[in-house]
Amino acid sequence: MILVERLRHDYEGKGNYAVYDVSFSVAPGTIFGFLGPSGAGKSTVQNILTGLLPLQEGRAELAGTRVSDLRSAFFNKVGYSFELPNLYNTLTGYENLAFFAGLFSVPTEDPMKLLARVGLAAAAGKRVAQYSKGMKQRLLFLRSIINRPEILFLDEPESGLDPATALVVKDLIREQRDRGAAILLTTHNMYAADELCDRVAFIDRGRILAEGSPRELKLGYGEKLVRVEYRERGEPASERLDLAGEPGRERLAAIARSGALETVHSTEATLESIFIELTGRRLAE
Amino acid sequence: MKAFFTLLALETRVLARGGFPVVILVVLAASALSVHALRAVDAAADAASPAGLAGPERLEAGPWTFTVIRAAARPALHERMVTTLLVYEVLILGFLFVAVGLFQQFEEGSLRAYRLSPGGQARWMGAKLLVWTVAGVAYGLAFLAASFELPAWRALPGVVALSALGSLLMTTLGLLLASFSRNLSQWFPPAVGLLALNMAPAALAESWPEARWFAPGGAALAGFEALLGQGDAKPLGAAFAWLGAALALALPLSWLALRARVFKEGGR
Ligand SMILES: Nc1ncnc2c1ncn2[C@@H]1O[C@H](COP(=O)(O)OP(=O)(O)OP(=O)(O)O)[C@@H](O)[C@H]1O
Ligand SMILES: [Mg+2]
Repeated sequence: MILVERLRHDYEGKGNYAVYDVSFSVAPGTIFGFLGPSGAGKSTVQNILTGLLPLQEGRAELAGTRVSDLRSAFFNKVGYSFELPNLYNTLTGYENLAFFAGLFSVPTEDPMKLLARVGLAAAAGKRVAQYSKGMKQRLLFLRSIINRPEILFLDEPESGLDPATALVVKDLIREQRDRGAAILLTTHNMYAADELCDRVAFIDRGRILAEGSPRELKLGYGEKLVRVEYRERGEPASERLDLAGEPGRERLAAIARSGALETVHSTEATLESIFIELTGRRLAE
Repeated sequence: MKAFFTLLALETRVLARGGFPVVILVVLAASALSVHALRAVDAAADAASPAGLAGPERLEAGPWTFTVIRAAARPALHERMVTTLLVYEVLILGFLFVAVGLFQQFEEGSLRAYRLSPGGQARWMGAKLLVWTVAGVAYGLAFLAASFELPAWRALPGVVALSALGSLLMTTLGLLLASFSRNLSQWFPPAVGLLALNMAPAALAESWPEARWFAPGGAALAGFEALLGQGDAKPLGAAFAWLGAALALALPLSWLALRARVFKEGGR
């Protein structure tokens, strides 16, 4: 369980808040997506939760323990994957995992099995200094789950990965959730968030603008219309119909009966379009 | 315990993989050669002044006559070189390399990850101190062997103990100093300054023997001279006591500095 209440953070102490009154909670067995543009304050919140930044104002707890009271043994329950590289460059990929596993006093995963799952088995014996960015990213991710954490922080876990590897990583993230981990996932990637997250929060300029399950949000913000495409005397034509009302349903049925119907699209919002609507800004720089 | 052994394995592996072994072999060879060279110089000097002629020398200058009395058992040059290198090279090994290792961990960010593991500061510090103390002792013995200056069996435990205590103290001081810097260039000026202060007693020893008790280097020098039969044996106990007391002071200071500067929240 991750609990955050009215969190504020001011790096310079000049009333210029990088995070302002942020509140949310992540229950065990759920993935909570933290979505926002660059500079929104996502990493700041994560770093406060991990104790890398001091807690200034508000409440932040991991599994019932205030983040300012975390002792090193507590980290047996937590996993972290950061945006900045932080691997032992002179060690091999395997050694990095095995070394980290050795620090825990809880059961850990077999490094070799994990490496094999993300396609790093062949590179297991290579020094990390010679890894590509995507290889390091995968290794960081594996390291974060080596102790089967109860609480897992993932900062952009899918960035820099090819689509096939990204799929595997997403599967591994779901496995963590399914065994009961509370996961805070930070990302710019709306599609990844939509696929993975049970709940998401939109954050911009340090404030949470909206929060809910991707489905709730998409329904809440989308126009409840369907777009139908059909042929009318050989020419392509399209219409937007409101299926909430009888006329719309009638019209759809009529087009379908005529045999000219070609496609039906729902016009529910995407997370990205909601974000743009909320902030008036585009997500990816 | 498992975590501590894991850290020991990490430290030794990083040590073995960096440029360290090559650097240390080159320095070892140069040091041993300098002892051998001085031994040849000493032998030549002995041949030039046969024992029978050695004795008080008279110098006449105007109305005065000086009598130069040689110190009864002035250690030979090469013997002095051995103790000097033991103190100012072997013992500072940990002081230097523990800092290099720390800056490497800052740079690669691995320390940041470590802080979010259950490893903790005590094990981290303990592993570094142990590895560099053992490395210091091993290097000291290798240096003595390569210089053909291994002490008699009776003196060996003392030499090992003094090297261990000296290395442990200097490594602890190395961590203390390094925790105030973030990279080698910030660290270099104060490190050189401290090492120069550490060497000052050796330079002053001729005119002011008591000066040695102002720096760990001087105390260790007194101890090694006593152990290797180059002076009187009295200062040996004082040397151990001095270094032990300094360690008792340095350990908590180093712990606190690391806590505040390296392991603190908000640190790197
Ligand atoms: N060490 C720091 N000192 C001062 N300001 C900082 C510091 N780190 C971040 N900030 C500021 O805090 C704000 C939030 O930054 P943060 O790193 O949390 O953003 P982010 O959402 O993680 O962005 P990104 O998606 O690029 O990683 C930004 O305005 C940034 O300039
Ligand atoms: Mg960030």
